[in-house]
Amino acid sequence: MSSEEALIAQKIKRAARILLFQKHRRPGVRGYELKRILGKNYIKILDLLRRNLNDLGLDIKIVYDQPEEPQKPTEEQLEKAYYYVTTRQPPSPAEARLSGWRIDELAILSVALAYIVSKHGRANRKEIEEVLSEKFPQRIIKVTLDKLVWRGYLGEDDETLFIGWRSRAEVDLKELVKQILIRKIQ
Amino acid sequence: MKTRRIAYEEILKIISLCEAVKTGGLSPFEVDVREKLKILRKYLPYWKTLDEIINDAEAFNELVTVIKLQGDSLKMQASMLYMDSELLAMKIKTLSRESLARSLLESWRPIVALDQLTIQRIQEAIDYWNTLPPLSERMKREETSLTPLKTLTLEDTYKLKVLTQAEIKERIEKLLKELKEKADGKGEVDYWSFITEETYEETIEKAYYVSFLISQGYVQLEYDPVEGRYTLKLEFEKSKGDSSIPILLSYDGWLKVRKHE
Repeated sequence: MSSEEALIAQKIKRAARILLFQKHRRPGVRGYELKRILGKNYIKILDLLRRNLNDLGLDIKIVYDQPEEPQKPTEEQLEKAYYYVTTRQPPSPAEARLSGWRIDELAILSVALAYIVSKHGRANRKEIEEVLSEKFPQRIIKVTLDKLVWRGYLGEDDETLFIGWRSRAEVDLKELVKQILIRKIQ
Repeated sequence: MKTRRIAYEEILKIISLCEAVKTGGLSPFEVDVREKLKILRKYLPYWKTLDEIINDAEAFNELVTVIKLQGDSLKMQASMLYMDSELLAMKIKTLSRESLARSLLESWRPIVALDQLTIQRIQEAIDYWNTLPPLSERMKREETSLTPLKTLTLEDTYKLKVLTQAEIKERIEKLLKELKEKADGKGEVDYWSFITEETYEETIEKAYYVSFLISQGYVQLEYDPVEGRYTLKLEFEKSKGDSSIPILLSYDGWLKVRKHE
């Protein structure tokens, strides 16, 4: 292994540590932080790390500052973006339960996110609660929505709910909408 | 003077309209921004006081926010499947909780992160440890403060003359009637929503009487460990063996439930 290859291997390991170890309450690392630590070729290092992570069923997700994903992101957009390690495949219901999720919580998050998307990104909390009240008791709705806001899946601002940073990183909203629409009526 | 007052009210209307858009009550496209800007321009010469000028600037700023929201909305519609919210609400009604949860799971790729200790957290732990009294002292406090728990049976309430048999019977019958009304043909009611009352004392009292309904076989309490839900069932098959389900009804827990009811 040449000294250059050794350096790259070292940087890949370092990138893995930076991305996987949570430093604050919120996981993820900004592009400019990665650039500072890994150098200006940090995107290439991340691509190499991604290949290693893919073998383990993991991936690197980039979440840009703007709501839509740019087709050809600029350097500035890449530096401002957040980088996360996520799973490549969705978890099974059993895996979700094992990690502490209840069916009710998943269903409430599913409805809330889809409803917010249908309202173009922001929806009144009372309206969401009303839609949810068709399926869940009020007590569960309120507690779960608060929990989802606290965990970053939803954002709240003056009784208005919007898509939280964690949902932007973890949930393919387009796929979620599609899944709800194609489900057979029960 | 009259025109100025009307103009001022117009500006306030624009601000409140934009506020409604910001809180998600109205679609951003329901605001005719061009028309509202014309109104702002028309009334601009009327403003004399600082308050009026600030209001005008605020209305302008709110309109800018609406334009931004219109832009965000268009981008979102272009990048996602466009879906009408009423259509979605109807679709949600037809799907089960499991289907909704499964829809999310299919589109979910959770973040993988490792929690780790930081120097600050270690320092906090050391500080906590240093201020923690020795175990012997803590045990002593608990010994003196704790009294053994006892169960209050129906017979005890008669002996204590808290209630007469007739009163208890009447209350239980009333409660059973209320339970049937709330079940509304479904044959079951959520335990927490049924027992939660205006005050903590009333809630405790209701939970106490509900326990008699259960022990006397009028209703059955079922616990779903998957969803963590307690349900009172009016229609059920009698089980062969008895079992008991303890439910903690603390004041803090009650406050939390009341806050969200």
